[in-house]
Amino acid sequence: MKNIRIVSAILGLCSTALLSTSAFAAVQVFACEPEWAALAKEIGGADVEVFAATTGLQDPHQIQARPSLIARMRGADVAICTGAELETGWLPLLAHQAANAKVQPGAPGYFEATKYVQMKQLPTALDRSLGDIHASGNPHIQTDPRNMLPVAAAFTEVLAKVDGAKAEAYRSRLAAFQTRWTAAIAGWETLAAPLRGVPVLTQHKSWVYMVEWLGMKDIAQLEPKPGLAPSTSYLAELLDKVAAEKPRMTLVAAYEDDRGSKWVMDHAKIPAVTMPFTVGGTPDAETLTALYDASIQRLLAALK
Amino acid sequence: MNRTLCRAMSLAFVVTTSGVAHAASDTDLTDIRKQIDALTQRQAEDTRRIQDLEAALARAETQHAADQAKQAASAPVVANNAPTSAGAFNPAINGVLDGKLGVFSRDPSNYAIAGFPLGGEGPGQRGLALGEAELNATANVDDLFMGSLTMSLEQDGGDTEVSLEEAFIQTLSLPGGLQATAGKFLSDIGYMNSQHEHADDFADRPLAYRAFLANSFGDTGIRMTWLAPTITYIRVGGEVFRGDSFPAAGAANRGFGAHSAYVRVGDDLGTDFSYQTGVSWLWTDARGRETGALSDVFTGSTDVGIAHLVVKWAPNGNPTQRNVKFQAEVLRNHLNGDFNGVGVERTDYGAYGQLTYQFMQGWRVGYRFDWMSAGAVPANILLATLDSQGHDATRHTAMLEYNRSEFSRIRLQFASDRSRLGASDNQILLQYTATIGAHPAHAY
Repeated sequence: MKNIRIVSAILGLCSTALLSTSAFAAVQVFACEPEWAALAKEIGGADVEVFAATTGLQDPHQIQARPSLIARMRGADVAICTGAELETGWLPLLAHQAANAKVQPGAPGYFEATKYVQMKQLPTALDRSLGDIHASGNPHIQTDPRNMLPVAAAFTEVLAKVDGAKAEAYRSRLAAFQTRWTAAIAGWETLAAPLRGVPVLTQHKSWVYMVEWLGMKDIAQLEPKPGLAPSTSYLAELLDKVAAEKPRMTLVAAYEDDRGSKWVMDHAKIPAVTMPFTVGGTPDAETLTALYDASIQRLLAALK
Repeated sequence: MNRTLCRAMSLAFVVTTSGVAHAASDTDLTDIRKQIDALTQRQAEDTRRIQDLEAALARAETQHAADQAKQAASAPVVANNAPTSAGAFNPAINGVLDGKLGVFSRDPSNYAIAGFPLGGEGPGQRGLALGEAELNATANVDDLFMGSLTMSLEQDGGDTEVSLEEAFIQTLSLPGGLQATAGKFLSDIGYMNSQHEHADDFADRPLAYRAFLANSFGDTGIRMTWLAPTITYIRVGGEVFRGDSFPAAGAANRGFGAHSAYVRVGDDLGTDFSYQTGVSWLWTDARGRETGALSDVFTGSTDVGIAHLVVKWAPNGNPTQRNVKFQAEVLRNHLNGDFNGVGVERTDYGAYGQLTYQFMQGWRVGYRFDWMSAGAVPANILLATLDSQGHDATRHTAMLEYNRSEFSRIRLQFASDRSRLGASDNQILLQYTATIGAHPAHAY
């Protein structure tokens, strides 16, 4: 009797769940990070419905496999993520628990952006004593807008494959994006000319792609090792070491703890720049274009 | 290069032919003129051909460059030139190392929870002790299955005990949100039952888990779950087990000695909060189950019902620096059968609630409260283990831990444990837990 009661309770819940299911017409895109959500909207337009698993204020290394994320992955047709082990602590778990064949690694709907760009900082040695390093290279490719072009082109083909009927719409949106984006990059490069050769400090190794794009000089990281919070004694030592190179600013991502960079600002008069890092990281970076506008404006402001 | 070569060849051809002309007599002048005309024509043809070739070459070069650019834009850039080898298909392997230093005011070797037969171990050992060393290998088997194998090695006196914690396959691509699991695995009942102990927030399990499930219920079986296609996480599952693990025993019912059903619901509440809650039931049959130092024998059924709630908080949903986790479970245990040959039917309850707070990156504090209540039994010497003499076991636990990285942890834990009748047992545990190898994946 007891068994029957429980089983009927479970069945009741199931039917409630089924009733609340809506019929989705648009391609459901699960984007691991906000920048890929924004890019998916550029290419997908109204033909896709995009869910961003993380926000610009969350550390993409340290996301928990929350129930809401599992539920979203269950309904996804396409998953667009960074790859290069950025999501290693949570994405494999979501994939296992959602058990959605469409977005399992290797399926046509599973997409890793880092597979389509030239990776930097490939480690020569893999040892955890070196901190939280990524075997496939530095995954923070979105800090250089030029990387959006090959990623957009490759992702368009994923959408075209998954949603063949609208392939031409995706490809024409890609063409429009490419034209607009190429012009935007040229604009940013002109705007950012004063940043060329400027020596900077960074909190985490999040900025290698942007630093190289704008021709800045990345002198050192505040983190003693990737993923480890800096202590004040370490920072004091670091400042001594880099004094000769006269760093002009410290780059900190909006989601990062800014105490280290504030300490540096107070003790060495090196301004801390809170960077959006991704779409939505700061209020002035709500779109993909605004992300780079805001980043460059913030860097230029710190230079004055 | 090609162009220079062509010119040299045409020139050589002209020189050789003119040599022949020089040797000829004057009367052949007309013929020679004709030949020169022919040669000039041929040279013009050659020049045209060379120009054609040059144009074709230029076209090919442009096409090649375009192809390369296209390839760079669309084809995967092989960033990692790792050599291909059989080892590339090795599963993700990780090992968990654990060690403890224990101080107990009462002897842990005669540990008991008043009124309950214990299927597993107590709070640990006095002095220095090695905890379970665990070895896990996980990989996708193919596009349909993933497989996972977890072994634990435990030092017991001079011997090393190897036990199979989990060995299962699980589907990855069944339609309609269905997922099947087969093999030996930890049951999905409750919140923490399926969690490996090194992922717990305290150095030992709640008393209710210790008493009703021998820390965790895992057995050989089959599981089927269905994940609802909703934005809210709703998972319904059912399991059938062989029935060899406490509280089951002896693979009753022709080898289908235990089964379970559960439902889990979870979601985000704004950006800062998330939760998971659920109800589960486990039905088990025991045939000649032996427990404890007195070797109590039980044959009969034990049903365990669990309700759980977990709520997590992190500013902006970013737990890296600060986060709070609240976790509570209530367990109801109903047993009906022959205990040492005496017929017993009764209902017990157990519950715990715990709160952990990470106040800065790497540092966490936590507090847990445990409570147990055993149902009454008739006064009978054969039922001594089941008789709590009216004592409700309680325990207060506090801990402080430092996580250098996601891979290491040092934890200091104090507990005031009133599991037994009489004075409270004051326990101090200093524990390290380290993970080597592949990045561990910890469920919510």
